[in-house]
Amino acid sequence: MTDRFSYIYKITVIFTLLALLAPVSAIGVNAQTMQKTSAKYLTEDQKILHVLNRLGFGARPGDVARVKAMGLNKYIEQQLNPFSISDTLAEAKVKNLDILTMSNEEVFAKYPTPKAVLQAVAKENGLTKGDVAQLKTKNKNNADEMNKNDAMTADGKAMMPDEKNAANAAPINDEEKQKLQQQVAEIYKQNDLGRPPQITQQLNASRIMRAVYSERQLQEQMVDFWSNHFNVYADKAAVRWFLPEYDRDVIRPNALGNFKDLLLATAKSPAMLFYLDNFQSVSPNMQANNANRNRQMQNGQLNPQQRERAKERLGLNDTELDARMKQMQQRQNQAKKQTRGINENYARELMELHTLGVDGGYTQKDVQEVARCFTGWTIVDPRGYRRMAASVINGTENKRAMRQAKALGLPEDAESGTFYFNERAHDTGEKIVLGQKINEGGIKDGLKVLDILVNNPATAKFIARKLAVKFVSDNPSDPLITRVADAFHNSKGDIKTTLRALFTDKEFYAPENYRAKIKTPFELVISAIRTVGADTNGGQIQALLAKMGEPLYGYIAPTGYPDMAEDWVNTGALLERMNFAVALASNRIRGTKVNLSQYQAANKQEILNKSIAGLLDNEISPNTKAMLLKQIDQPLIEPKLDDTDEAMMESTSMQTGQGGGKRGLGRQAQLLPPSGDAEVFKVVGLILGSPDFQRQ
Amino acid sequence: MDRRYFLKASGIGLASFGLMSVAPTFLHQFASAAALPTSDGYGKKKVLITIFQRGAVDGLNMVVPYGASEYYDYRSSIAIPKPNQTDGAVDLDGYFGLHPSLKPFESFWKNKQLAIVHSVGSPDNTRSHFDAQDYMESATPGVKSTKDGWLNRVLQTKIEKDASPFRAVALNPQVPRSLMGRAPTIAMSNLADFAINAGAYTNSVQGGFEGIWQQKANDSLGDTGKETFEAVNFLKKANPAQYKAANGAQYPNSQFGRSLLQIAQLIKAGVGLEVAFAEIGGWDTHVNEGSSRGQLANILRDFSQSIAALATDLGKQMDEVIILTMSEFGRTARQNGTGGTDHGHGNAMFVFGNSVKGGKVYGDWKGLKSDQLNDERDLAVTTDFRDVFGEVSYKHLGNKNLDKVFPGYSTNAGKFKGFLS
Repeated sequence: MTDRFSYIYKITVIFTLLALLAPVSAIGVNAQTMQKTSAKYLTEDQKILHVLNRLGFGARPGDVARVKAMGLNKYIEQQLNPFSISDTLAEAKVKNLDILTMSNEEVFAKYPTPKAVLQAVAKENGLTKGDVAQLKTKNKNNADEMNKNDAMTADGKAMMPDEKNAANAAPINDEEKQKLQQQVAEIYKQNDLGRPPQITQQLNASRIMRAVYSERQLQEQMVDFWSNHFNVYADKAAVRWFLPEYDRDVIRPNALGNFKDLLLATAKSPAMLFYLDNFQSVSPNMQANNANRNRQMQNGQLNPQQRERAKERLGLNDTELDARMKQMQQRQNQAKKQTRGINENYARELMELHTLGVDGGYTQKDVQEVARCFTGWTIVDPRGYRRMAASVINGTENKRAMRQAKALGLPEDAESGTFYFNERAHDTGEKIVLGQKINEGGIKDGLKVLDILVNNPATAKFIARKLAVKFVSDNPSDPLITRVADAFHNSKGDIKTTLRALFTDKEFYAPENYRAKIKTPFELVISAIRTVGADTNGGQIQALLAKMGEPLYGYIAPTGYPDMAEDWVNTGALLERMNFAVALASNRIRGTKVNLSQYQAANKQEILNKSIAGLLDNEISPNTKAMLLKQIDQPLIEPKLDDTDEAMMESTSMQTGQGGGKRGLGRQAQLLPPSGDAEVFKVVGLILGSPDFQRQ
Repeated sequence: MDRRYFLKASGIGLASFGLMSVAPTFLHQFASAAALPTSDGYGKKKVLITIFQRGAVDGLNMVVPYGASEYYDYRSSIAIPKPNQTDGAVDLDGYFGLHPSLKPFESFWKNKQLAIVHSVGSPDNTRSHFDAQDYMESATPGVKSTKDGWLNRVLQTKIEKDASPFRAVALNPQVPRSLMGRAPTIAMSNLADFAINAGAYTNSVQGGFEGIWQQKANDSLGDTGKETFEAVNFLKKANPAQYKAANGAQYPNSQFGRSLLQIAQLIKAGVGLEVAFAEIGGWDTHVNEGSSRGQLANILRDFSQSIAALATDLGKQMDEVIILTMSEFGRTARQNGTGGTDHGHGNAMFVFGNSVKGGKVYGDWKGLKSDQLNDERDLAVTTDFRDVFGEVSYKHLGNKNLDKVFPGYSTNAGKFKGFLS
């Protein structure tokens, strides 16, 4: 693949040279290339379009004129200070999404899992835990892993299977299952609760609407960028419940702030702690202590003093303690205790993906040492939907969660789903990271690591490169990266300063970089909606985004979606881009409304001209234009349409994807019938689905 | 890039779809002249079909070690009875037997077209579905940041001169982890979805898009647009709705059965398929797993009937095809308190194909005594799953770059189990 890049690069260089030598003589040269490189400089209008496309998600009708009136530099400076821009329209649009203002605990309380709901009412309904477990049966996959192997308490104790499943549950038949499910649905209704997928549906809708409507376009681009840089995956167990906070309190306030603040915020965020397992990472010493204590209990060997302590710790009376010890003995026979200790996942990705980059000069030993520094960075009651379901539905506390909190030494009012540094789980030994001794102690060990990483030149270079790829070109030059990295380093990670260096660099406005990047699926969707001035609630549009391959919060690996077009341009995805374009133009997407009357005209030629001007600001390759001219003369509906063909097309459904998708949008999203002037939406759809509109 | 002109798809493809009436005349001639293997087009390719059993199937009730007495000690209510008993296992070799729901596999076993690898799994001891699936599909146990899947790397590192847009297809709404990466992959739940969809205006709109995407672009869009429509048109002409399975094969009317049926269609159409992916869920049997009947038995029935239908349908074409099944980990040797099994470790894989040295259970079987188990609770892993993947990649698909397909791991002929010649 790199060959192709070098090939393009060479071609570009050659044409640039040609253009310099003989700007008008490039006859017979590929039109697109000519368009990109025939001028030495971009015109003022081109610069404005470039900035609107790169710093934001494309121009809405009238944007170019507005920026022109304001002055380009002033516009950029304003975009770099998003909180100085009033954003009433976007805020009004997302106002009714309740998750946006909820704490993690509130999200747990409002959107418990069906299983947690059932558990909360199991006793009074005469249900065993086995019955509860049977409620969820069909099609288990990775999305359904919650409550299973991650079943661990916040202090690192593994939960045993029989804590989850009571003994000898009778099989539940379909009828009974249906009844249980109805019962659950009733409880959701009575208590005004919502299903977990609604969390991501709402959050994704907010991301889409803000990107469409916000005046703070650069802020939204940076939210997209950092959300992908610090990727988390909605379908990993409890991550979904932490996402509203992640977007609101971790990414947004820091998107144009200081990189170190952002990094620290992610390090402490329950979303990241859960996604990369750090919440389970405990010092091996703590493990030994727990194991010892448990072994004594399993063997029934507690002296009176230990008995008292155990009762206190577990909140049990004598009879209950005896029962517990017996249970533990049985459990011991059933399954061997899983060993828990240090988990290196976060430490590795922190260096490889968040800061230094894979070639950033760290070793496996550094990974281990960093992991030791972050032991004890954990989450209070990470699966709070259980406790909260009990408290919301019954007004009681889930006893186990309370015991766990107590065992951690947490105050009674510690909120579920909040960051917590567990001193007891922390590895207190000395560590050496990248040659530096770390002995600050406690939570300061981790803070020191973040300090070291942010100040490392490899981090500056890694971030600079990623930003240059995002904003300038898939193949940015080394000198550009160095200039941007210097800005990052000298400003101690100030993102605004770094971006200013990027946006004022001559390479940013170089003709060969003009319209030379392919839009990501998110950029395509948002820019199409903006360009045609459509109105959207951000709902069903999520399913179409998923079909293009990049649902929000739907990428399983911590790398985030690849940032180079080569990785996502393929036949299947391209087809979905075209289908999206035409669905949008013909008003087939529920919750997204477009009015194309401005493109209506007396004849087809005029429709085409208006559309090219309005949608592409006349930046169209002669080839595309010629082809469009030919196409508008084709009949809209062929005289004899194949019935089966049509039936097949109409029944084509929008299956949704994983992540933001599978659980988030389990239903199939049927397209509406086309509406509007067919001559117009055909032309507009073709343009939005053309190569020219895929570029920015 | 090596993507090439699509419509050189062979006459065989058209013939197999029964398309002679709709194919253009020049293709008619082509097809009738070429009712035999062609060297041209995408007619004959080695194909690997991978099937992921998501949720961790209970390998010990799937391929039953009925010869181990501990098996019956551990599983008082869920063990599969010995062969010859009522609802007993289907005997394989006097020690292992198949779950009775896997009866459709028996003829393949007898014909030596089915091999089994037992006690296979990951060196990583995670009991998280999420992590274990991630590790198996990236084929880098313990490393999360691997950005591509192993099947995609198989394609990346094996340059094909006439690679088709349908080289890699997942019968899934999204590209699965196994196929993520730079090598182009198509994910679709339904072949009919691979089309321009504009209601009554579809033909007109598609014509428009075809026109404007004809020209090759000088950036990463390249030929992709043109290839897209070549692929779309080919599938459209093929009209998958009219497909008839061969050799009396009957696919169950399940999601999984439909997935495999569509894979057969793609193979028979000669679209240049090399790697296909399908998945089937429902294996996470913590509660009431059942024995010869029950929850697990039901899913295994769908599983076996679908796979047997696929292999039957492909018939002679199984010369070129391997079907490989996998699951992220096995389940505990002992049943739990709720008539089920919990997350374990080692598991079993099936390998189908005419080139397989079948009729044998491969792998180093340690036994089920407590001290032979992993953590004294699960079937031990004696074969790294990458050695199985590696053997298929190397011997079947002819990929010699195993170090690139399995970064950080060295698999080679010495480690292969030898189920392929």
